[in-house]
Amino acid sequence: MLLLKEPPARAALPPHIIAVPAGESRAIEVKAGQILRIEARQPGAVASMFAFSRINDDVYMSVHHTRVFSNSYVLQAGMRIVSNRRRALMVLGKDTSGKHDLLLPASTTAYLAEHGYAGQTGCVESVGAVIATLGLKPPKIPDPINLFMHVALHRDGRIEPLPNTTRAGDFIACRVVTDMVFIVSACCTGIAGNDTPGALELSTAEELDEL
Amino acid sequence: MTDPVQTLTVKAGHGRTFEVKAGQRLTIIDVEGQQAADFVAIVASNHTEKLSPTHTRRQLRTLFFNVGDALYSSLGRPLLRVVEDTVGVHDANVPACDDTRFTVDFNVLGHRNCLDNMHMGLALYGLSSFDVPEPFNLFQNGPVTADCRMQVTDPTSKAGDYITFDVLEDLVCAVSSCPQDIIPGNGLKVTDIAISILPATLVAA
Repeated sequence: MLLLKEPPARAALPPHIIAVPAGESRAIEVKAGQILRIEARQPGAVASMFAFSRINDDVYMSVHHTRVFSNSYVLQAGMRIVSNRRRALMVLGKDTSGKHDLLLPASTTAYLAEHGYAGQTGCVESVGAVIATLGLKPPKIPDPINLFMHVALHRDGRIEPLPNTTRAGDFIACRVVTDMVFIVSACCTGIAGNDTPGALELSTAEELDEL
Repeated sequence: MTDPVQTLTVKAGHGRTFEVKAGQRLTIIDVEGQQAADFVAIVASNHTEKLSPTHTRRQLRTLFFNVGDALYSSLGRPLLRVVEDTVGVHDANVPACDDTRFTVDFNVLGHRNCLDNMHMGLALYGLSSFDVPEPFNLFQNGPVTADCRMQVTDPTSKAGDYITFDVLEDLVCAVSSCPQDIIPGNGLKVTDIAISILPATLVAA
């Protein structure tokens, strides 16, 4: 809950936890003022994160606008994660990993099949199915923020995928300032070194110490 | 008889939409220097497949690109190949400036912007503003700093600098002469961009 001068417009909500099996995607509803926590439950997990507004189909989390809002190619603690309308959705407040990607696309089933991951569902298809189930109608599936993805960016612009060193229990936590539906995918990314899906846990609470 | 070379001028701070065919050669020219040209392309036969900086980064494993590299679609197919580049510095990171770039970031209402510039022509193809893909910002300069931030600075391009692509697919394209006149990026002076489309027959010869 945000520390507002006037009484908050909504009652406090109990903590809520959603498990994301490796290779699948799940949604979690987050209200303004809540904490969103995303945890790797298995070593090497990557969390491809999307978010959509329920009240305006045309508003969604934008990795591209997030980079430029902070003039940064990488995600760092304290950075605002913004919408395609350049409004803050949340701030990266806690981060035990420090390694995330803001540059690479979500996998598709076709891409995975062509690159040696036949039989695995692409992130785009998996997230698309969740969007349909929720009745969301975004104008497009935006590019993701790839939490826990280990990719080095060099000063000459080279993007070097590195072996993922995410530990079980690594997490990020953000104070969310806009009501959004988050969809987080634990599907195979198809990015070398980061291509073994691992289970994730999504949770929300009014305060971090409830989780 | 061959088709003539087609030339277009994108007026300073404005946009142009045009079609190119596989086999043609497309040149974008920074007429006066230090002017970013936002560039987007959509596959003519399938408007859901678009030129994608994000997918190009995955394919090339770099923020930047070199002569000989292709630029890729959202389906991972090559749409254009860089055959000549007198600058060598382009941006594929920054989303097109739009109304919120100016209202939210710079406290300016009613500013010309690249998204509107590109969408104006693309709307005639039935495309919404959300169908306008992320751009390649030709001549724009966004060096990676030591701590992986993006330096906001002016282009290195000089008058007459250009980049030329072999067109690999029939495309609907849009170019915006970026109207950003507040921050480093266009030398605080917005100028024209020129486009030249060489017919396939001349390329083959």
